[in-house]
Formats: sequence, C-alpha cells, structure tokens
Amino acid sequence: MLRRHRLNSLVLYVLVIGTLAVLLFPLYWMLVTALRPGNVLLSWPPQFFPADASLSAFRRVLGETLIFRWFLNSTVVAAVTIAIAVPVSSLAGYAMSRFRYRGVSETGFLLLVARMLPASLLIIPLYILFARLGLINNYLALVIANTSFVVPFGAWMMKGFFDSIPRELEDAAMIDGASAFGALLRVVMPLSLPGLAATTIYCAILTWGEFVFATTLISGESRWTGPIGIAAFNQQYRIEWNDIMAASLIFVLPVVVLFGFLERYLVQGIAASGVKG
Amino acid sequence: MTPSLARRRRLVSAARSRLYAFALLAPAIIVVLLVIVYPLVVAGQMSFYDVHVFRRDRGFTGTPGWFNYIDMIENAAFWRSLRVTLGYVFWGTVGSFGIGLFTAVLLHQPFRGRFLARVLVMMPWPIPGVVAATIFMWMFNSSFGVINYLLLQVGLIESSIPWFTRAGPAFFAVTLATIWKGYPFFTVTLLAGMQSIPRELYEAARVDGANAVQQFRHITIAALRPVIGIALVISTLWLFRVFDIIFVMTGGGPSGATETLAIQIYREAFQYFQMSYAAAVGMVTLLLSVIATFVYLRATSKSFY
Repeated sequence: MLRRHRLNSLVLYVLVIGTLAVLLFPLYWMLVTALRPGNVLLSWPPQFFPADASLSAFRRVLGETLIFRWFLNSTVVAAVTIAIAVPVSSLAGYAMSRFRYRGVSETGFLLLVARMLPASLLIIPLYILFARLGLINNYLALVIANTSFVVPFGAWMMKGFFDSIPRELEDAAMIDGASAFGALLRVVMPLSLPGLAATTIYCAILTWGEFVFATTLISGESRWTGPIGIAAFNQQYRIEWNDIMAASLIFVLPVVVLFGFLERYLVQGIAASGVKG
Repeated sequence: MTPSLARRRRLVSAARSRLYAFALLAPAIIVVLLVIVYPLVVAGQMSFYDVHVFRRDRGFTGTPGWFNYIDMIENAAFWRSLRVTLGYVFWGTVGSFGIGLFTAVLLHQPFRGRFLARVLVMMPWPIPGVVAATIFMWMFNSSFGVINYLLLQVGLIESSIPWFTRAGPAFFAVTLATIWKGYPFFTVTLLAGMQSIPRELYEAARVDGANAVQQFRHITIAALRPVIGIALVISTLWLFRVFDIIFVMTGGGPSGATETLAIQIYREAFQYFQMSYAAAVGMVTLLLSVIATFVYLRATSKSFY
C-alpha cells in the first residue's frame, strides 16, 4: 500500500514537472533568446542552454531604444488607471453587495453586458469622440478607456469580497456614531484588502498589456506604451530577436513579479465574483 | 414621537439610503455609459450611414439604410472572416479548456510544492498579448525557429514549415499562442469549482464501487457544469475580441487566413477608413457573441445540486 502510494506520488511529480516544462517553455525561450549574443543568434540548431550567455541585448535595448521611456509611460497609465478604477469598482461593488433597490442589480447586469463588447468595435466611435474632445494622443483618453474595461469585472469581484464581510460590523460602527460612508471607509475597506489586491492586480495586468486603444489613440514614438514599442520591433525590416526578447523580458518583469505575490488574491477574487456558479 | 413622524423619518432615511446606494454606483455607471454604452449607440447609428470621419459634418447626412449590411453580405471577405472567427473561437476554446481542465485536475491533487506549481502554471496570464505573440512568432520562425527544429528532430516533418506564409500553419500558430494565453483562466475557474465540491460525494461514490474515471465523470464534471458554462462564456467572448495576438503575429494574413472579425473591423476602420462598414461588421460580431452566450448558458445551466 505504502509502495503504491510512493509510486503514485512519483508519477504525480513527473506529470507536474513535465506539464510545467511544456507550458512554461515559451517563457524560458524568451529568457534564453534574450541572453544570446547577437552574432550567433541566427544559427542552427537552436541552443537550448545559454552556454555563451551575455547581457549585450539588454545593454543595447536600454541604450539604443526608448524602452525606458515606454516603460515609464506604461507605468504612469497603469498607476493612474489603478488609482481611478479600484475605488470606482469598490464603491460600485459595495453598493451591489449591500443594497437591493431597483436599479442596483440592473446596473450589475449592465456591467456584465459591458464586458462582452469587442474593443475593436468600441474604438471606432471612441476615436471620433476623443478626436472631438481633443484627447487624441493624450493619456487621459487611454486611462478613461482602460478604466471602463476594468470596472465591470472589478465591481463584481469586489461585490464577492464584500458579500463575505458581515453587515453587523457596519451597523455596530454606525451605532458608535460613524456615518455610513465612514463605516465603509474605516471598517469595511480594511477588511477587504484581499479584494483590493485582487482588483489591483487584475487592473494592472489588463492595463499593462492593453494594445488596441494605445495603438489607436497614441502616436509618436516617445509617447508609446510598452506593448506598442514591442510590437514596433516586429515591424522592422530586420528583426533582432534577442533584442526584442530582452525588451519583452524587461517589460513583463514587474507584472510577473506582482502576479507571483498577489496571484492567490486574484484566484480568490475570481472565485468570489460568482464565476464559481 | 407620533407614529406618523416616525414613519416619515423612516421614509426619509430610506430615500437617503437609496440616494447613497446610487451615489456609490454613479462613478461606475458614468464610466460605463461614457465609454461603452454611448460608443455602442453611436456605432449602431453609424452602421446605417456612410460616415467619413475626416469630413466636417462627420457624414451623418443622407438617407440611413441597410446598405452597409448589404455590402457586407455580398462581400466574400466577410464570409471568409466569419469562417476564420468561428474556427478560431472553436479551436481556441477546445485547446484552452482542455489544458485548463488537465492542469486544474493535476493541481487539485495534494503534493508538496503545490502552491508554487499553481503560480507557475498560471504564469502566461499576466503576460501581455503582444509579448506572447512575439515569443510565438520567434518560436514559429521558419528558418531559425525552435518549433521547426523540434519537429524535424522528432521526424514529424521532413523540411521546415514556412509557418506564416501558408494559411493552415499560420492559423495553427496564431491559435496556439491564443490557447497559451487563455488556458490559465480555465485553470483558475475550474480549480475554484473543484475546491467547492464536497469530499463526501467522492467517499460515497467509492463506497458504491465507482472507479476514478466514473467519479471524475459523474461527480467532478457534473458538479462543475455551471462553472464550465460561465467559464466558456467568458472565454468565448474573449476569443471574439482578441486583437493584439493576431494583429502582431500575422495582421490577419496570409491572404485573410487569420483575419477574424475583430481584426477585420479594425482594418476596415483604421486602414481603409470605412468606419460605417466596420461598424456594421462590429454590430454583427456583437450579435454573434450574444448568441453564443445564450447557447452556452442554456446547454450548461442544469444545476447539479
């Protein structure tokens, strides 16, 4: 019995490691390619281990392209979007969790429908609207667009978290003299930090990778966000794969690290959002 | 305090609390109305006109009509794109659901290091679509790509495949990149669903002599049905929308083989400036995704408990 158990767990480990090896291979390949010196990159057969690893691609990308600038632009857009979208999602999620008035659940439904629409359809009238408002090539347009794509799901995720916080806590705070909003701010919010973390990471992932709006609304190399810059590498006549992989690696690093730390909250948030059934 | 006064106070406080609820919702409503509902209405309106963005009057003149839709029906490119989209949504769903289910079952087993394995399995999730597309372009590179190398080594092919200049291979490459980006969502939702299935069900089934496969079919899959339904809906809607991966990898080519409706809308609008025609295609895309949603929800809504 014990032997069988051992065998089972051995099989399990082999399966887990094999699966991870296959699924994470693209990321490994990005790393290996980024570490290759340029002159041997286009060689055959491909090198599976970076025997002659060098940081020359990173040096070149940081020195000769505007990646640092794009990185900064992406950071600004993501930070402002988070600063707007997370509070907006939280307030809406709280209302959806606590109030049963007519119109509240209808709003929740409207938010769900909003998530269905293809961005490439919305971008057409939005482009015209932003052009009329003079917001083309303005990050404000990007922040507004991103916010509208985060809030629908963010609100549902926050509702899930608020549902698990007992109402009695607010009632007690209000009996002690706090206003309704004060109770929300000082009693409920601190308890929903996992929810805020989940919404923040969700927002960060979405904003960090956003492409349709950025490529349509923003022009001029120094104003690009990361994804547009990386996509532009691809359109060059001669693609330096180690450079583009180095740039990609630099760009994904913060969001990967953030995801590593906050993944469990996001998982919890998705489970709480009602996707669970 | 007289009863009527108390009642009035209650009414006032009810009205106030209602106002409070909507005040909390207001920012979300405004954002969604401004950036989603308003553009949708305008897009719908545009699809019945011939709008020229760069004309001063924005082209909302002339008689409205169905002509954009008629053009669309008569346009072979639309039907080709529709076929591509349906294939893309189908294979993208099958692939990411398959991998998602497999990894969820695997990561549901108890073993040391499970937490780390979960984080790692979901790693493609935060990777921006543009980056995922770029990595796969490089792996599928026809002269120096690692995929051709591996296929040659294993002996599956005799000469390198020019992935992006032939229709079938290009579609395969794009779909594979999409599946890679899309499976973690299924892993997360299915795993969350599995964790909420009571253990007693499995114990009872074991007592009744059910084997592992039977337990999986009749308990796990059956209990996950609603979760699967919603996950399929969200994933399908995502696949209808995917833009960055395809646009970066192939731009819709070669000769339209990977031009899904999302790509076609964008190209018509921003490369040929046929804004109204693009809006019409967009409205049809939207209709299709709404239909797909209802089909899935109907098929999976039977509750298990």
